Amino acid sequence: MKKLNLLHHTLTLLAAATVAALSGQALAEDKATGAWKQIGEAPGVVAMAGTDGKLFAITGSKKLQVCDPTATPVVWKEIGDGPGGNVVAMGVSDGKIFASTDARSAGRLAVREAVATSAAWQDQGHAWCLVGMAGAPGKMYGLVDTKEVGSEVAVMVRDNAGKANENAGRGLDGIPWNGVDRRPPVGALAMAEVGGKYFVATKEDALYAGNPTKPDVKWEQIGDAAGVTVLAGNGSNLFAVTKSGKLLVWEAKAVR
Amino acid sequence: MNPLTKHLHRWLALGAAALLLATNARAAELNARELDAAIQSGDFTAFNTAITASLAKKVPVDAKLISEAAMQPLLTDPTFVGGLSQRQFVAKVGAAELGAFAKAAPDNKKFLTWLLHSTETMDGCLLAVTPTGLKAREENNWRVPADALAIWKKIYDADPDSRQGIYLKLAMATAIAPPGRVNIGAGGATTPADALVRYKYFKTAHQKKELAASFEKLGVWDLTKVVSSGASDDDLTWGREMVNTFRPDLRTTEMMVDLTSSVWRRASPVPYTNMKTVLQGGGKCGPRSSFAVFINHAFGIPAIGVAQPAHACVAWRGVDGVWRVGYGKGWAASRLDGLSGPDFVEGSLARSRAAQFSQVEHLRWLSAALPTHEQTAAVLALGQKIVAERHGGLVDLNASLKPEEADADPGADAAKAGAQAGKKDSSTNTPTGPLKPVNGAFHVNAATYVKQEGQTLWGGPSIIVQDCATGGKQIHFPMALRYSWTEYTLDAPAAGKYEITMKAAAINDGQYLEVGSDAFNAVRIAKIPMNHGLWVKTEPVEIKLVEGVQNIRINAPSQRGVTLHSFDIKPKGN
Repeated sequence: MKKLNLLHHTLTLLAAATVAALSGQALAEDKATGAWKQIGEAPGVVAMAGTDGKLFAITGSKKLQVCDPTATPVVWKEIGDGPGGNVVAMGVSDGKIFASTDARSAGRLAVREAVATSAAWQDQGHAWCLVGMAGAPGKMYGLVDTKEVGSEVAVMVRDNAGKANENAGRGLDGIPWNGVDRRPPVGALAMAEVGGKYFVATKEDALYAGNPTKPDVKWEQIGDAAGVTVLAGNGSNLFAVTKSGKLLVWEAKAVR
Repeated sequence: MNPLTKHLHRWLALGAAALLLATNARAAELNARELDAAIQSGDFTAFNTAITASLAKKVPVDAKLISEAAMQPLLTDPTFVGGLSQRQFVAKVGAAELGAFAKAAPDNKKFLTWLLHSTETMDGCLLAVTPTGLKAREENNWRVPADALAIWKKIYDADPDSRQGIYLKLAMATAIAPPGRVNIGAGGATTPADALVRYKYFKTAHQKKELAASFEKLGVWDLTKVVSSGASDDDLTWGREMVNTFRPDLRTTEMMVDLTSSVWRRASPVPYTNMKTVLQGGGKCGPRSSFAVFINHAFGIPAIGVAQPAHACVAWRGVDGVWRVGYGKGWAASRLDGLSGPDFVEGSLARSRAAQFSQVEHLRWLSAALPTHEQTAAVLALGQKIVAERHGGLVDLNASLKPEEADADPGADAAKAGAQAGKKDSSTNTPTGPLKPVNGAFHVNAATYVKQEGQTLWGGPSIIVQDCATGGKQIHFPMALRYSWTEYTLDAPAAGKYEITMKAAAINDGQYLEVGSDAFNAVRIAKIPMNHGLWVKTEPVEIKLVEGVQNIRINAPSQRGVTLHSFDIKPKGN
């Protein structure tokens, strides 16, 4: 009898394991159903942000350009210069475009109106080691990568308005960035916000969805991001630019 | 040119011609019968007395009559010069020692007969043993090393080639300064190599054309600063293979000493068991000095370890024949070969004027054979005139190659100099279109990149295109890079996972290259296994390719230098 019971338990466990495995496979397949679609070219684009149906991008030659991603073909129009220096990330918050520069360009944050005409950039203080930005109402979330050996990418947040760092040392002026106790996916290199959801592309060519503003939302891989170096949200769409200068859009059904 | 100088030059030329003629001048020798008797009996006393008397008889008794005009016929007379060399050879070996050698074995008599009847051979040996420092030359107390004849005889017996030409010089140098005669530094052989083995080693290396081109121009004294190397023969062979693999560009100017910059200036984490481990682990001034001397020796370039206050570095004979000091202070702060740096410079320059040096020393030998102080002084005065007439060869006594490396790992200037030692070559055989697979796999020569960018930390070239020792090209990523990458355009038949293996060389542990397709962010690290600067295949690493044309980028991080010959990409699982 004992032997029969043991066999029964074993079979039950095996069945449960099989169901769990099949469910996991289905879930994994479901996550991978999204796909990128090329909608145009984005040569030389190093950072991008979207708002009001437009994509704003800054190129390696430090030019600011704008396009309508729904047009066919997509045509970029130069509307001025970037904020100066080597821009590495852009984001939109409260209807304004933010751009940050790399450490060699003093790691500065700049802001300008999100208009498709010439407008002045205004310095907003420091933005050390940012590699990606994603806006939220009144806030800007940033991916911070010090690129030091053994270090991991972290998420930091900065209020758009508030009290500036009074005793700013080593160039840490402006409104301070504060750490968020929620790690992004390993190797995060770009971040964007779409409809309150956050997406991260990684160095291992994976696309994750999660929410750095909430402590209980885990980052989940929802697909691939082959060669994606820049992400930008616009309305309900997630856009990307690849290393080879392709402009992509993530099919809406995959954005859950 | 004043008349005296002109006269001396003519005299020197005639003297040199006479020395050559004297080589086969046995028929006209002074005291030939006494010499043969001495060799057979092993007693050189009578010969020494006779040859001294014969030489003195030819020189005016009245010192006032000893002039250039009076001496010129003597020093251009092969018979007289031959006798002079014989007397000097007996004196410097020692009559008793020479006699004992002659008696030691019947074959030794045959050897001595050959030797003592060859003025050129005796002169080659004597001039090599002659001290480099002027003071010691003037004191004239030096001796031919006691064991030199036995070693020389062993080589003479073993190899008939050792009796003339460059191998005669090599044999003499090995006899005078066999391995173990000089200090063996870090990485040196535990037991000095056998002299005959060392002779054969360099002979073979020369025959195989493995040595620097300047090796053929070396005199016997120069060669003593090669064959005495404290490194093992295995290490010497490895040293050449390593340079031919890792930095073949250094051979163009024979500046193998530049590789000293690659000996990491730090406390080595690797115990020194040979020269490979010195390069692998690095070290401070002592091991760096040992390595610098060794890497010159490996190519047959004369080099000597140099002592400086609280420091050690290197001196070597440049491709132009001029000795240089590097990796420390200048000559003024140096001590080497038993001399101060300035004295060594003066002596090495004197040696570089070979005919003049020989003439002066022959006068010195003659002065020692004369019976009166006045005659001696008059002959020496003639030599001093020749020395006073020397010209050129001004040396900056404070100059040094890479002096900044005395106190630190290669800095800005050193890195620039090292990087510039190899020329940036635009003829990289850039392919006209994307590379296509053959039998499903790509074989890519590293120098066929379509694009390259980079900087060293101090602004030098971030890549050196080298002529591969076995033909074709290869590339070298120097140490201390800010960034550097090369790109290759491939046309992949299908998307998927591929394996890449590289043929690369590195001299330090932990070196690697990053690789990936521009269709993906992911890069993979290809670790270069430690093979001491020789080619090695990396373990396969997986990369993803998309179907069609794409760029493969190889990225070199800031590390200690990696040389890349080629890489292969094939579908994973094939």
